[in-house]
Amino acid sequence: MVFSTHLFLFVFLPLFLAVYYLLPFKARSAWILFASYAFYGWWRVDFLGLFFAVTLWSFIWGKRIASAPTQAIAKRALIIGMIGNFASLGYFKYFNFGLENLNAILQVLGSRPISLWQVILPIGISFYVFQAVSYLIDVYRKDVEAADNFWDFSAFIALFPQLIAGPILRYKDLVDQFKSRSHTMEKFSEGSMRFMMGFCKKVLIADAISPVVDLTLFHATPTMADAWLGAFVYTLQIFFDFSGYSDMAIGLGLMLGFRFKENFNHPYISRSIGEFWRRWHMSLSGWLREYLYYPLGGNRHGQYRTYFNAATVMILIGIWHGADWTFVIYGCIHSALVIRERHWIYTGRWKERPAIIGIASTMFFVILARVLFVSPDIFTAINVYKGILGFYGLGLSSFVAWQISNFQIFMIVFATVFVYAAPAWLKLLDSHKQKSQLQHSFLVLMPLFVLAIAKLSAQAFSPFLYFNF
Amino acid sequence: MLEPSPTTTQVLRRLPSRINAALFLTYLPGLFMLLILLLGIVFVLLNSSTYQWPGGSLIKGEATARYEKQFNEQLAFKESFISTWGIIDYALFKQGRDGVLTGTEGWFFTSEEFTYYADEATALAEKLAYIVQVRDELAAQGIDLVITLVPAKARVYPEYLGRFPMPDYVQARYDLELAALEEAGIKTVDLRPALLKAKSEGQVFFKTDTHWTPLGAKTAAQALAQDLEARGFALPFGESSFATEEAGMMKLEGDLMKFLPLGRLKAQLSPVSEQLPVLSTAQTNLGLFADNSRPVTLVGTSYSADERWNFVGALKESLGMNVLNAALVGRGEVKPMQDYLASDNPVVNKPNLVIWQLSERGFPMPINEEYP
Repeated sequence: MVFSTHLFLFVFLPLFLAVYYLLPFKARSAWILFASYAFYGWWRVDFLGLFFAVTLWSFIWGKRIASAPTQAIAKRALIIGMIGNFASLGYFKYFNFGLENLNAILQVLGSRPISLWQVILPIGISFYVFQAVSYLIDVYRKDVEAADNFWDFSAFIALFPQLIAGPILRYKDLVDQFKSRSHTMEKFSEGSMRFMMGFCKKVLIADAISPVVDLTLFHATPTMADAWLGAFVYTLQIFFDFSGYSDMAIGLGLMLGFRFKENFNHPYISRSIGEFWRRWHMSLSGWLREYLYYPLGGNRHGQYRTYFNAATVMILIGIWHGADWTFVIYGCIHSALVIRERHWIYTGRWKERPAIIGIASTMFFVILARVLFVSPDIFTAINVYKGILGFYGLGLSSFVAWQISNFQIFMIVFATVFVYAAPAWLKLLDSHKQKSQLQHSFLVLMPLFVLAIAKLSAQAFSPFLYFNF
Repeated sequence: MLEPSPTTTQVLRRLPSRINAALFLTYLPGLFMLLILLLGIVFVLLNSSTYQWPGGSLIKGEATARYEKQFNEQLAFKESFISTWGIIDYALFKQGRDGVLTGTEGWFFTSEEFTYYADEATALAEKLAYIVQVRDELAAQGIDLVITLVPAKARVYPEYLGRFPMPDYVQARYDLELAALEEAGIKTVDLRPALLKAKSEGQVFFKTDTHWTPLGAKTAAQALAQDLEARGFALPFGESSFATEEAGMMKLEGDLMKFLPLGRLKAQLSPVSEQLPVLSTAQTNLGLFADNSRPVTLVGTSYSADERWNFVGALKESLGMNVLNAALVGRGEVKPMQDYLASDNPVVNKPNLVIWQLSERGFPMPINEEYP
């Protein structure tokens, strides 16, 4: 089920909330679990089996890790638990990709390609497997006790606000909230506001500008203006789409009394690629930092080992997003950029640049790399890069210009202004003098929310981009 | 000097309103959300489609996908929301839904006239091959074929396109189509000069509709008749006489207005209200021994089939002979001809000439993508 649908908004959510608030606290985890399974099963019931299996597997191995008499046995249990989880992710997410590449190699060698079944990618698998793995590692590290209540643990893994597109939650951050959390009208109201903000970002901005991306990038001869416009608009679209989803998830969490960690912190004002990854999809970059980068040694083992560790994280970020060479190259490009920055820091060549230059140069690379992210295959990406370099001419293609609507132009400008004005606005909001007056300005979200629902009715189905990951 | 402290009464008087205002604003989003959710579920529960569960596998998500589709289509308040958004779209952004281009001074254009076909040359060749096949099939029965191409409205009224200048690939489209037809040996009538000239006498296309006005239709009919006569077709030009009568005016519901869902504000926001004369053409020399033959058959699209424009009436009047109208509304360019050839019309009526009215905008559309 998708948040930005009438069915979620007018059936699932009101029914869920009504029952949730009628139940005593002890029964609420069970209701969350039931509703989350219904939420997920709305896509396909059969994949609930996998979902349940990952949950049960992680619960069992979490127990075994915790009860292991020695550290060595606990480590073995951790490895088995992780292998099980990553094996399911590997099979469901990367099997087709692996087979395609194997067949390509076989064809080059003159052998017959292998014909096997196609594996369906379960939605949200990358998110819930990462949550499960973080739980096992945290138990192993004794950062958190193993869950003793299977239903609470299952409800944590299944928690529908973040189930299919994150943020990636960690058990240790939520375990206490499952045991005790407050439910106040202030919290519900704050969550409602946050949900409305996310809904507006998704429906009014991301969905509105999305057709411009297809229009400009995916034709045979994108001109330089087409390609740059498309890459820039996609950069905006993915931010408003994904951060909109995260806002909705955080807002729904608040409505249920939970406080989730933030997933975005104005990523497009970053002055370096390293900073960008500390601001973009923070729950993923934080996960990889904590469970991969630091265990590999972080920056504690010298210059080249640091480069290797950073590159590993970046490539994995790329691959996590999808099983295609475009994502591998996306990760490699970001690796190269991060290593370049690290090298400059090590060699003392890194100088603080004026904000505008730092932001512009970071955005330049972010936008360029986004082409790989949006392209369905490497050949399309190469074609767009040819467009970016001006191989197919400079000005906007004549069939593009008239198809961009006034509303889309307005939203592209608005989204750009929003991205750069929002940090300053929030800073102003945080100042005590203006706080109360400015806070009320957020009430404008209420009529915008109604407009977004109206727009939702006027447009076709609008899936979230991050479901694919 | 110290300011006097407010009295307890003063404080108590101020306090509740301040607290209430602050609390109200803090709770407002939550209350608002609850209200939306409540209204939503009440409407949903009152809707009978909510309780209709479709067939299909639940395991593989087919049934849920169908249910959601049906649920969205039959939402009780959907139309209100669509018109709300339509009003905002038009009032603030001067645009309608996909399919219409808002020009200046109340002029609207169909985006079909600007459609880009990646493989236009192949589509053109495919259509041309079909036209040649039709021409040969008719010729085998002793029937001539003439094609007439209705130019795009944007071509006739480019001055009202506003921020949508005609794309370069459209600019040469009419000439290319004409050249391709002539090269294939198809007799073709260019309607552009007549329609462009007639603009000074009155409107030849409607502002809010894709079609020509009765004046445009009459202009085209006259140009067509003159061309046929000049080419020396063996037709009984002027042997019958027809007269067109006007029976008042009627309001036009322009087809492009369907792309502006303005709901209850339609009357207030509609850019322009258009009217057209109610016309009927009748034979005036119909005597006891009058010739009832129809030497010409007209096949074509809604430009010809829709009686409101009275194209066939104007054609009868201009040719001075009876015309059988085999044009169809909403069936594309090729289907009306396929239907005509499949019928017994060519044999029973045995015309001397078939006029096939095509349109510039429909010509490059691949045959299999035309209307069903």
